[in-house]
Amino acid sequence: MQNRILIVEDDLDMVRAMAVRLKSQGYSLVVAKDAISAISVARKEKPDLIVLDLGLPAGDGFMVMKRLKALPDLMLVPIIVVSARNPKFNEPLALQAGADLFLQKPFEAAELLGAIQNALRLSGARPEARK
Amino acid sequence: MRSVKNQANRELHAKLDRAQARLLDLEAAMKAIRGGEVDSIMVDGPQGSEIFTLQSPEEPYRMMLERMNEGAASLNADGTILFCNMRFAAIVGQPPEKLVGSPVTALATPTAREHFQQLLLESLQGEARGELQFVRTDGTLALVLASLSVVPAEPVCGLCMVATELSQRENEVEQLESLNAHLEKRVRGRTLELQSANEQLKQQFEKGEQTNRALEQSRNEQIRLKDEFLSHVSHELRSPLSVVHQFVSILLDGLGGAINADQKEYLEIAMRNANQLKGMIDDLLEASRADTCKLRIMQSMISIGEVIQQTMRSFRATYAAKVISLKAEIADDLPLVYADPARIGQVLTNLLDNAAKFSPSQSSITVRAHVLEEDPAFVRVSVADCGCGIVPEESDRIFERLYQAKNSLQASRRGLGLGLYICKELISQHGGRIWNDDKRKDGCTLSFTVPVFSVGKMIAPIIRQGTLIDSSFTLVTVEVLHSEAWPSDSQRERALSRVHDVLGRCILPDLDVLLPCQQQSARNFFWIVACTDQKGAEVIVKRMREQLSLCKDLQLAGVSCSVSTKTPHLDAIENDWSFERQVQSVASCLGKLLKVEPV
Repeated sequence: MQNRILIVEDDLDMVRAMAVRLKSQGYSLVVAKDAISAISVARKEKPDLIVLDLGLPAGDGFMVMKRLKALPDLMLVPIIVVSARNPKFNEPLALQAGADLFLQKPFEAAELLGAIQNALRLSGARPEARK
Repeated sequence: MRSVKNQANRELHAKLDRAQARLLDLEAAMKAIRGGEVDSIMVDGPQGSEIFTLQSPEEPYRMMLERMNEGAASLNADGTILFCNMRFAAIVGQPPEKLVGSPVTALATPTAREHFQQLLLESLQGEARGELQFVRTDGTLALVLASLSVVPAEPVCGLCMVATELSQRENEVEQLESLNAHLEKRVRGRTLELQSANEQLKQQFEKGEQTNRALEQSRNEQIRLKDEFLSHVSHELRSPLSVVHQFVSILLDGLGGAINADQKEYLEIAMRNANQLKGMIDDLLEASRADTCKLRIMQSMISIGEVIQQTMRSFRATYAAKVISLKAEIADDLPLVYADPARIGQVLTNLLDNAAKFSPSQSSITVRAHVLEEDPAFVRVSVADCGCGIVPEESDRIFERLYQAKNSLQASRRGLGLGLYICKELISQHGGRIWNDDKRKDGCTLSFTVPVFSVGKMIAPIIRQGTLIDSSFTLVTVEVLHSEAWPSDSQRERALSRVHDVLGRCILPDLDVLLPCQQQSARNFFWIVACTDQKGAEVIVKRMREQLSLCKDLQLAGVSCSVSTKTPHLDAIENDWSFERQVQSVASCLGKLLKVEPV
């Protein structure tokens, strides 16, 4: 079965770039372009992993993480934060908010793919995280 | 007859009245004379009015008697008061006119009268002194020191008595005390005044401080705004750059279809320039951080030769295009240095970049590394080119922020003028220095120094406490591994910094020393010198494994740690050795161990 990844990103070009990469690795994708729809899409689609931007319309990545971590069936879904913001301040904040990893843009494709693989492998050890 | 009688009666009455009036006058005059209010008397006589002054040879003595602070009285032999001064009257509390003619012993309290009588008798033989208690008419008591002495005169002798009121002394003490209290009050008053003045000064000082703070605040605010702006700009530039980067790499990886050799080359050029742009954006942020002292370095034990080789490898392609030969002259057995490998790589990249920019085709660039002759605590690294060189006047200015050397205008590519400025900041953070050799005419040599790693400095604190001498010690090794190859330097750096923090929490800072990361041959180690035996070290190892397993971000990034211990043999240290010798001995032992590849 294909692993489903939710990409939350308002830059459509970036969405496109990540989509090409991830599809080439055999993942199925769902996309949300703002903070509010990120939560509703996540509830509906139950992704195996979320790639999350921090700067978003209608809220921000931190708000999304706060909401997701409060939902019992989504709280264990791994989150990889991908942001152009300064990691010095934002990495600790993101990890504290529940992110599993912080990647600064621009990043190497291998970094993202490796992190997704590891995250899925680790969460695979917890069957309740996946439906 | 009757009328004659009446007439005589009237005259007698009139005479009596006149006589009474005179008597009253005389009495008043007497009183005035006794009171010293009268200086002279006018008497009507047969030869008209005559003036008699009362100024007599005894007058000064009378004045003295009246003015003195003691009571004085003259008595006849049986103790009747003949004269007393006002002070005497005041002490015994009776008017002087009542005292004159009364027995002096009657002034004393009934119990003291006999003693008084005895004093009087004694004094007739010469002198007598004694304390007596007098009772005043108002019933109060006065303690008096009476000095009596005989005044020989004919036909009978008299006595003179000086009475000193002892209760007066007490009064004086009281007075003194009250004066004292008054003084204290004044001192208190002055103290309060001083305090308030002090308070005022303090307030003024605080006001000044406030102004200073406000200035500082506004300066900080400006710096913050600038930082915010730069951080914002960098963020805004990064996002589109990120998309370019992603798509170029997608094309290069063939995800957009097969590409031919030419297309591949063009895409590689695009990628190189995208990376260059990323470097410039990083520089912008770094420059602002250097200004606000937020530039961070993470020093490790590293082989500077390795960093040089690594940096040079990534330059080969650039240099090949310009046909520049790149040479390295690295001294054998260079000591490990205490430096941030990524930052030193950044500095070297900048220097090589600069050298390449100003070097003509078919020239050579040489990187040298050796221990600094004048100070063996540093390693010197230099990059020498055969370019246009730097005029001596610009020697120092090239390290200034946003400075562009004049001839750099002719250079094919210009930067932001931040590269060397950031290099200088980074090197000075390491405790080293960077400079241009202005003696060279046929090119340019830029050099920098980095400190040699000293185990001694790190372990000195625990040796100072004597803990290492008494007990055995254990070396804990933590190797930080990545499931594949490290995807980027920055990710490895972040992982190492995370592991360092976690390990730091697992040791006892007074007893154990966590050495900085050792990065060698693409492997990354942490060493912990723990002042404990194998058993104690196992507790530390268990704690480390537990804490590391809690770091999910490390696991996601594919980072794992392998922890092992060994209890090495330590050469005996004598207690009577000097501190320096003890440190040296342990350091050389550890130094040997650190070079050994751990299993």
